[in-house]
Amino acid sequence: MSTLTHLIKSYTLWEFLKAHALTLKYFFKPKVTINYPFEKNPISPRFRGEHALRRYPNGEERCIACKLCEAVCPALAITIESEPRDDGSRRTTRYDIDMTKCIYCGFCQEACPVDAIVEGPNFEYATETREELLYDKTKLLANGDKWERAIAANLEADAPYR
Amino acid sequence: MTDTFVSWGMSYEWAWGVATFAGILLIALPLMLAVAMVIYVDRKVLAAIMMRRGPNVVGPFGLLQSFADGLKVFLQETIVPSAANKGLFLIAPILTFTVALAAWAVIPFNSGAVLADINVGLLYVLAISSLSVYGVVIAGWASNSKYPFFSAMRAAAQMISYEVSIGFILICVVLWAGTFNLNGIIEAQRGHGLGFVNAFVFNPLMFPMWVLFFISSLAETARAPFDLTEAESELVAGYQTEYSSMSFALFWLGEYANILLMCMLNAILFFGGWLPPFDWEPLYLVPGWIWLFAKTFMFFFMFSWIWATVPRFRYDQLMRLGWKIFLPLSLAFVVLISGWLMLTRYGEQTNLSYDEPTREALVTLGASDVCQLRAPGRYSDESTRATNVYLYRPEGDAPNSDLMDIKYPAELAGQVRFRTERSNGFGGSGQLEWVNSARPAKLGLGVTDVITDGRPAAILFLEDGNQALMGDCRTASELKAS
Repeated sequence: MSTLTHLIKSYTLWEFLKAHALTLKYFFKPKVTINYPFEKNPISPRFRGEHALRRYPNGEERCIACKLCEAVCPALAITIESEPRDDGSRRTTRYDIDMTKCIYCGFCQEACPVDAIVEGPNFEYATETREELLYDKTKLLANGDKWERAIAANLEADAPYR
Repeated sequence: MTDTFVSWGMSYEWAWGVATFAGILLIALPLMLAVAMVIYVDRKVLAAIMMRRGPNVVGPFGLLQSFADGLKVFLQETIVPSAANKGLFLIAPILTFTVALAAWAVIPFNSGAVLADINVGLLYVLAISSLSVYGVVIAGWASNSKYPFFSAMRAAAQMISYEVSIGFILICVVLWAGTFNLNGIIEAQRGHGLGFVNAFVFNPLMFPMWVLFFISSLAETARAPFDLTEAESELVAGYQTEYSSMSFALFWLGEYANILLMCMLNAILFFGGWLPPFDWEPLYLVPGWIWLFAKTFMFFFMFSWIWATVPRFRYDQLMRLGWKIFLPLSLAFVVLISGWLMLTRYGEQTNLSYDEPTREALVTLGASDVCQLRAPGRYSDESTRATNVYLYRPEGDAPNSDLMDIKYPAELAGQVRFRTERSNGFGGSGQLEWVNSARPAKLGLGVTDVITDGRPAAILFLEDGNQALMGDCRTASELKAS
């Protein structure tokens, strides 16, 4: 009997038709595509995006030029030069991150003892020239000012787990 | 259309030329637009089944995507490989595209709306689709590269295998309709199913043929699940690998024009073409071409639906299907359908009766023969109205003489005249003059043993109405005696 049913199913294209009924059902289902520039998917507070140099609430930059981030960076993307500042504190004169070398591993933000260098939630910073992607201290500090609210919220959300 | 131009004062040759040219443009340009839109529909349907959106950025709802793609392709550099046979390399896509367009000449969009209403329309379509294999083979050969060559051989083998079974399926349709003329086939489907459905497909003998034709047309156009020649990541892009820019665009357009042609043939041969689905008066108010396009679109949706659903055939599985399953099946159905038709339609000829008014008219008109003509598909259907054609020929002449006059009943006498202009020994062609307007018509009269058992048979073609009526004739003496 099973050969007969097999034959009938084969010639009447039975399974084929069942498959098509299924796909037609999916034709009418709501689509899962996100309308990207106008809709975005949620991202985690731990997301590692564009780098930023943070400041203390009173406006003082956090970075104390300890060079732990430069030492830990697996891609050697960070370059630091430091000097005492006029008021005697230890600060960097040069803090470059080569975003084209960076592998976005987050080691620098893990290493930093004062939460100065962080990876923020931004990933939409494409540029038209390669040079614009070689970030310097000014750019990083500006990033920090721009993204501070988002970065602070993310740090607060993730703090219990760090 | 020629008549319109003639009525504006052009000479007949010029009018015919301009009308034909206008007809060609009227088909080719909307066809190109249709191909662009159909590519878009294909992508959207595929995406929807996969629960994603498809093109929706370029233009409203992504409608202009095909044009953007076309523009991109046109602006590419046309690369001809140095080792390639340059002439053949450039001719192949031109050939493919030309052949894909040529087949559209015989497609009827409405009764009378055909560019070339030839009597062997279906045979022409079959011949043209056989020519399309050349384009593929030449492309593969001229590329002078092992992957395109190999893929072209496979594609050509695939196309010709399924053309064989398509040929037999077309024979089935022609047997049933009685004519190769596409309009005739459509007319034969009028009221075919249970008296009110305008389609062949619901006939239990024809339904499997439709299924076979549908699947064979998928294989003929190298469409999923038979698309191993093009979507084959194993063979790069198949025979189109070395092509870029305009040549690639021509292949692409030609392929989709072929797909549209096959969908339209599906609609014409099995689903009634430009006839509405049901033989119900209000439905005839909708223009015929809208019905045709709706049916074609339904088939194209099914093509896309299948593409989204099933995996690909392996090459040996494909060949096995074509030769070991489809060919025997279609051959068996040719035999079955011929048998059925012999039994029901062409067996006895006693089903044609001539009633009293016919005999009276015979005497009044002094005609020598009466032919009862019906539409080919309804030949055995007694309930349909037959047209009586009364022929006058001088006493003693054989039926296939060129001295023929067609007569109509008394009330039209004097208003109707058939003027023979050419006689080919089998019949005459000329003008049927009817109530002050001339309708070109051909009357073929001869003696065939196959259909009418030695009696004269008549076929009347009204060229502008595209109706072929056929039937058999009795001589007046036979009728008076009966």
